[in-house]
Amino acid sequence: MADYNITLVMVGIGTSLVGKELVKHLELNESENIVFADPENALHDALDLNRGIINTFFNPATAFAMRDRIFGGGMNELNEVLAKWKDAFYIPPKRNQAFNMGATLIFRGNETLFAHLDASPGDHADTQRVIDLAIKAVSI
Amino acid sequence: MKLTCNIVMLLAALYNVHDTPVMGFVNNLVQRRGSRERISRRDSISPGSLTATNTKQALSFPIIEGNSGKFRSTDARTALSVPEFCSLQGDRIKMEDILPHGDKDVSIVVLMRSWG
Repeated sequence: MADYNITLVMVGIGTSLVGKELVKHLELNESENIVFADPENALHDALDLNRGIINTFFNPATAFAMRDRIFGGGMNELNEVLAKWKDAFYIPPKRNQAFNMGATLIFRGNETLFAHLDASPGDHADTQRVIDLAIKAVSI
Repeated sequence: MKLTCNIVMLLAALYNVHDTPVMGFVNNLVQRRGSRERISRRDSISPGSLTATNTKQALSFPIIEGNSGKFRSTDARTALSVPEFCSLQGDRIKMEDILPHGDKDVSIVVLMRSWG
């Protein structure tokens, strides 16, 4: 994406210390300008992202997402992640932060071109689709 | 008379369970199906087949998925610019410190769940 001059920012709920451990665990080199920590989930609150156990963990979106992965050939990646998950088990600063869902957004200037608000665990935006859309957005 | 009572009781039961977690689950399911249908129709436009000039029109930006009704795409970037968060070194920063400011600069922001 650097070839297209697209800026990537990834922010996780948690402390900087845990974030450092995580990028080391994931072997993400030179990620200091990409990965950031939000211990107070301030960004999630600013966008009013989905949260709460009833609205998220009991949401059928997780089942649909798992189905799409199973039948879409994404199980190898999932198995790879789960295989080393036990070495990266961290407790969030606040217990209820476990029920804060994430989001993926594409901006062009101040304009929001794309927003995928995760409805439940596992209901993430398709990474390749996001990259394709961002590259297309560069050429608009 | 008995049939009328049954109908009234059925309507009352339906009314009473409207806000229960069970109906919430059903509503989520229905909304999800509707959402998936809309996404499916959008995905039928293959990004790879688009030219640079018709991309914005063909994809009908903005594409908003999974909105519970609270998210406002028009001021999302502005809303993100306010809160402070941290670099991995522990420095307090704002989104405006790291996102580009040009009108045509494209950025991807991924807000992850808790690392815990």
